[in-house]
Amino acid sequence: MTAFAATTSYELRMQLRKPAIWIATVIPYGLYAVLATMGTQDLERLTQDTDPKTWMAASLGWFTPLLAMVFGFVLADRLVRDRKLGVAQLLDVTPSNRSARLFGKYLGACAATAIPVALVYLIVGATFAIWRDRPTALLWAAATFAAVVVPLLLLTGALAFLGPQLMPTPLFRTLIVGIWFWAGATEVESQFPSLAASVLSLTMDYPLHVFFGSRDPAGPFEGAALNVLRPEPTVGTALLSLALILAIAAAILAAARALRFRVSE
Amino acid sequence: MRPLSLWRHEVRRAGWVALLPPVLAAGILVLVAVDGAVRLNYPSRGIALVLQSLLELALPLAAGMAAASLVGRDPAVELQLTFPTAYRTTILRRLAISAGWVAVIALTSAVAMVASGWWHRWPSAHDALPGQLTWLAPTLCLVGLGLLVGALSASPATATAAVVAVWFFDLAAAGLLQQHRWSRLLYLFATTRGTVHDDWTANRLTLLAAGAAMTAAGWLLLRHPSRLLTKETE
Repeated sequence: MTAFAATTSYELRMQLRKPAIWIATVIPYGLYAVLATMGTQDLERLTQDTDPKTWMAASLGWFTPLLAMVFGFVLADRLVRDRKLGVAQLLDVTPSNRSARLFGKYLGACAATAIPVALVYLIVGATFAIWRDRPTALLWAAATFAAVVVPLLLLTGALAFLGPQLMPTPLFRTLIVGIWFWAGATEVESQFPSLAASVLSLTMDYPLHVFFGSRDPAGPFEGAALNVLRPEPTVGTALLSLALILAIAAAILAAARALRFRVSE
Repeated sequence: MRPLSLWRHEVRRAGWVALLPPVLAAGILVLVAVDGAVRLNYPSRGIALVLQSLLELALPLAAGMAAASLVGRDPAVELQLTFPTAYRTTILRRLAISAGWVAVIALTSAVAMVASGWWHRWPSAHDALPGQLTWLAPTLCLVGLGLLVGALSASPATATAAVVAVWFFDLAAAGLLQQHRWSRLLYLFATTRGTVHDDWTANRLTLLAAGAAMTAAGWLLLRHPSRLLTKETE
């Protein structure tokens, strides 16, 4: 337990000091905020919406697809770093539990990576709460964060622990863009075989659609391939989507763990 | 002119990791276009958009990410700094290789598109020769950004994050960015996602100038070895 707590807090502090995690959040969100305050017609829909639930999903809807890429990028070097610096074997001969260290590293790095995004959700929630005098916006911000950001972070974090063990880190970072495009940014209307609007989509379409009333499509689309992954959107299938994403994250992390300890032996 | 062997060494050093992503991007998007044309019976406009997006979105991102990973990855910078060749010259040579490779892929794709007639099926496409600015301008801009942030931070993770964040923002906020003239001039994807046709040449020239300025600034910053030495290893 000590090894777990120590690794978690060390990774958390180390990752928090990395400029990359702040830059990747501040550039797009800051530019968006600047442009939005300069006044545009596109935002009229948002200014008319007074329901904090849909407002949270709509105002951050463009921002969610970015997260998978950002998480994958900034977490990619966490596990392989130990080996690159030559401390992996040194740590392995300490009496600490190896799995506890790996899991602590994963949770600590993921938690730190979530902080800039959590601040964005807090700012957006607080802005709406004050502007429209609807304090429940803060609760909806927390709910969106828990149901959308956290599962996505755990999945991409696990991928970032496995991928760079199989290929060089820069290649993995490029691959993440491709995965994001295929599993998130492709439009289901295009009918190309992709995970768009499916229970496994990296834009979390099911939870966003069912729990937060997002306008993004989720569910079966006539003529699209892989419709077996697009059941009717209900509370059950949204929960199933979350469970599947968490289960896949756990499986990938287990594979990363197996690979890490096989390589170190 | 440096001996050819030096360039050959740098190409081998970059290896397949650096050379694969643009080829992969081109291969996948061409497959998507063929799938759309043959199986899904897509309108030719949509297929032309996929092909133009390869030039304007995918290849510049690959070049920008490669440029962003140049500074901060050498395990023995101290040794490099004692060489008669300035370290920044080595960095620039590597930049020329990674960006040159993307240019080769982009030119090949563009020539194939013009020859097959797909080039002009995109309504906003310009004539073949000036049309090469479709990929050249955003590529130079993202390469300059990657090199500049890399030189400032000496961290590939930070530089790559900056390149991807700017690229993604231009993609996600396309509508917002069309509403002011200054943001239209700096918009990376004016051929495939821009709305004002008259701004195209000015936009391309602005991007080229910005890219050249950022590359020059990165080059100047790399003069100071302290920028490279004081950073801890990632």
